[in-house]
Amino acid sequence: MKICVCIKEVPDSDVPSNKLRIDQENNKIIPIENVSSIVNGFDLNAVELALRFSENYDDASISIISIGNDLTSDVIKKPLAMGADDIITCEDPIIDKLDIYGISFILSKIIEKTGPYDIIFCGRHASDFDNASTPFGISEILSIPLINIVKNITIKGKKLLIDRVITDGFQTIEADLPLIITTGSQVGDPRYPTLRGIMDASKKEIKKITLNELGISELSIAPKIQIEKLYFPENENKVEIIKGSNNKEKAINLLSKLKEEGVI
Amino acid sequence: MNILSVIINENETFNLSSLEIFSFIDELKCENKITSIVFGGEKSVIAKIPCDEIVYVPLNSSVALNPNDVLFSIDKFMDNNLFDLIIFQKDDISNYVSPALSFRKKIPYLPDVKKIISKDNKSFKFVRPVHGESAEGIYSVDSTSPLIIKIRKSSFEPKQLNENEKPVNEIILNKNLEKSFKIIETKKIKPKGIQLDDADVVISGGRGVGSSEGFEKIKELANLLNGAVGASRAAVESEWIETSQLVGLTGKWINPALYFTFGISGASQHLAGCINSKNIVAVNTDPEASIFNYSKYGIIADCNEFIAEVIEEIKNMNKRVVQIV
Repeated sequence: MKICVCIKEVPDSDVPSNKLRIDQENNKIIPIENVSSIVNGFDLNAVELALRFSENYDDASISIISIGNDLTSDVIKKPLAMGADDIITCEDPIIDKLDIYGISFILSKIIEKTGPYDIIFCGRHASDFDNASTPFGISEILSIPLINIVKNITIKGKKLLIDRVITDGFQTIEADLPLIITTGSQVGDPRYPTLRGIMDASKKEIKKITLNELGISELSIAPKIQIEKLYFPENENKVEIIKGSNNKEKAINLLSKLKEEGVI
Repeated sequence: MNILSVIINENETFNLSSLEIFSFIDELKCENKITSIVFGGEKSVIAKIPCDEIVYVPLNSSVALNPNDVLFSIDKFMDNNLFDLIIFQKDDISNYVSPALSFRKKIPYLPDVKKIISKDNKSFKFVRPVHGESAEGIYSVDSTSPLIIKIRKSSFEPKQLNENEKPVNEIILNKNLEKSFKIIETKKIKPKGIQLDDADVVISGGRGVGSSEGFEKIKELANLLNGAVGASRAAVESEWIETSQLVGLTGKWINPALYFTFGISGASQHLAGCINSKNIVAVNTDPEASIFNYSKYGIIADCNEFIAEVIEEIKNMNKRVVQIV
């Protein structure tokens, strides 16, 4: 069972915006110094789901695929410390400037070159640009069916039974391999790397592939959608802190204001 | 411009918030021919959609709608009809179909458009939020070739339905047998009481609520104010409340008159779903919590102690009203 998980290095999404700055040249949001980047949260959920799925097979291997510019090896090696087997990257300054078409195309080419994989896991969206599109790109380019927002996978004979989350409930889906699965927090917390895992991961080499080796020219991935400018919107909101000597008084003061304004 | 609006009604009734698409189109301020392709919903309402042509795809409400069938149907429909702009709104099916259609048709796609900056002979300029809701980007796309966009929920007012009915063309749902999957069971969890999407008042709890017992108080207050219960991702993941009540980037997007939060810090992922609320009231122990930056009123207090006082005071108010009557 050959499994891969696509991951992205992003600024920490729990960091307040005053700890982030905008790199105007590359139209990229980057953490200020001393705030580290992370593996996109939903991608770690995808790693967790891949690890759980792999436990059903004796011959399973999990490869991590990540592309970007100037990746932080300690960050992107986290899935290895969690239990994945190897990591393949493609790094190039041009990747910062690409849109979802270029990104999906490069990932698809890496998947083709290092695969074929039986199952490909991705986070449902990345917390930096919130496009929620790349997995669909891989699905269309490689012609592999995609099931989104998956919570759980069980094996039933030769088929897979997949629980998928919808806005008002759940669906169970029957599907064959190969498949692309997207997932997020519904999987539950990703496992913590063990000390042994961290040590093993630090020894593992990152397998690097270049755009040239993938046969991708800069022209073929020229972006169709350009970001002209990124900015932090001005927030003119001024909160009124409700005063009172105790909670009861604060509650009375708040309710009388809301009543006056006809909100309740 | 030739525009296609895509409207999905999974639950038999016409989704009125889909009419936000037509206010968006008005803001483009150009000559348009608008065609709507509508999956499911009541035909009598669909006939009043404010557009030029209406194509209706009836759905069998007893069978779960497979997004691949919708994708395939729109794909085939577009083979015979050319459009400059294809517009989706945010729902489970559209979230699947719109990016996939973009790659299948090789048409650029921009999700979560919240504002139009300009359109000229060369380019469109749109604004969309990025990094949760903490930043925004101005995106520029070639306006001389087709484009698919998904508009951000609640960023545009829903347009009124027409008074008169227009003729409706019917086509059948094109089943896609390849590159698909089979839905064998759908379980819908209908929360009791008022639904989040429809509520004027939403009482929401986060990590600070601390337990399912804490959420009983949230439910009690929601009941007293005739509102619905909401939750942050932390609360849903701790299983204090059902996933169906999740407000945020990956849950419901709401815009009630009052959004009353308890123990929610205001991570950008949560703000995405509630930032359009008319009045946000936040209760949090941390005066630095980012939810206060978006709130009209803030209360710095333990949320569980404060909610008990609010509930008691509302009960007192109601008693006084009864006495006066």
